[in-house]
Amino acid sequence: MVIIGQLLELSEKINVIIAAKNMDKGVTRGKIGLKSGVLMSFNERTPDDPVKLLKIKMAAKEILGTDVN
Amino acid sequence: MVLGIVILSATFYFFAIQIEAANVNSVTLDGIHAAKKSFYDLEQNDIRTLKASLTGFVTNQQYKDIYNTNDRNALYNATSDLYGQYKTLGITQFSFIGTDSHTFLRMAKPSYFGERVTRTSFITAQKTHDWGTGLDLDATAFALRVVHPYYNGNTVIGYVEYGEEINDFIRTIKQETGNDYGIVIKKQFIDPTQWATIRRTAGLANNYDDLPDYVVVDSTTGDVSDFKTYGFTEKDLDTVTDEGNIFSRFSNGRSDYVSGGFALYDGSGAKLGAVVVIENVTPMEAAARQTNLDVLIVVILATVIIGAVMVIFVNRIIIRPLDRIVEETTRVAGGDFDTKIDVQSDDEIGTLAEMIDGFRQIVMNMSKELEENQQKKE
Repeated sequence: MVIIGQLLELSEKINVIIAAKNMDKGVTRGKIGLKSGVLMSFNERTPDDPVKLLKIKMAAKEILGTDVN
Repeated sequence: MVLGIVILSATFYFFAIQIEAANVNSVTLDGIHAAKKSFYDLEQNDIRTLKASLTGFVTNQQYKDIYNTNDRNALYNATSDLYGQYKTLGITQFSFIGTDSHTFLRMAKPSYFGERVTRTSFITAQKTHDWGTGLDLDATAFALRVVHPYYNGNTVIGYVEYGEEINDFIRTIKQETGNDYGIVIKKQFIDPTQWATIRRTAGLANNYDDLPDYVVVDSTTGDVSDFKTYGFTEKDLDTVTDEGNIFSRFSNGRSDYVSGGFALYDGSGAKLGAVVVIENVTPMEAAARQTNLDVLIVVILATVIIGAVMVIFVNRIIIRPLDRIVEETTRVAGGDFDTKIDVQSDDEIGTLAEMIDGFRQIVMNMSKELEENQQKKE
């Protein structure tokens, strides 16, 4: 069974943190993408992938300095 | 860049100091050569002057007639005014020597007569029946002498000698160059008893034992006893060359000096010792140091300016375009495909930007195709 929406949801949580920290959205997302090895381009149809989710969370923690759950 | 400036400056200064020392030695050596030339030029000039004066005297029949009377007092009285005039010109020695090689009258000390003359200038005149000239060292004075036979018709009736002490030489050269000079003679040419008498008569301490093998007979530095401290060794004197060479570099008080010298010969060609030259190189060193400092400042300023220009150039041509490529590539990785990687340059950086922008478009198209495929599946 495929779970839809988790990657987009995580992506939006990251956007909120970036905005709260007043960081450059494009560059910060790009850093997370390069760190995790995942292209940070998601929409509502992007299939969820637990491995990608974990990699993005770890990269986001490192780049943003905070846990994203 | 700072490290580069420090290394460059240190390297420059090291070589500048080496060059400065070489220049100082070179200038001093030139000074020694010039002093030697002046010394021997003075000798030749003074020989000509002495000869001219002596020629005038030995052709004067009036004096010759008095000499022929063999009356020492009459000769002294007749020539004392002339001798007084000579002394004002530096001609301090005026002697009549008999054909038996003994002094008949010595104008400087009329009571001293009858001593046997063995000086080279006299021997030469005696042998050649013509001029005998040159530097002679006898027991009492080191002097430039000219001797000429005293003719009565074709018969030699004696010899007349004019001489000047050569301390005037080194003082004249000092006036020309500002350097100090000393005449240092091997002991074998000096009678210690008579030297002691000369020094005592002049009211000076006997310096005969100051050095083991040499005696400083004259100097321009005050008392000759002081001169032995002026940066030379007896080994320097033993090995001094005819053309002149540097001895050493030394300090005295707050001044730096370079010593050197050239060999000194008497009229017979015997090497008597050396003329020692002492040059105060403090002003020369100070000028060289100032020049080095000026050049060093120019080098540092030039390095800073060139370095700054290079930093600006590298930043504008390489760093800033690369930063833009990195930033825009990062945005693409963040899902922002609309940011065109736009770096306009005709070099490798421009090529790299163009290539990465091509990848941006490929990723953007792949993402759209993937999205369209997902829409179709649904």
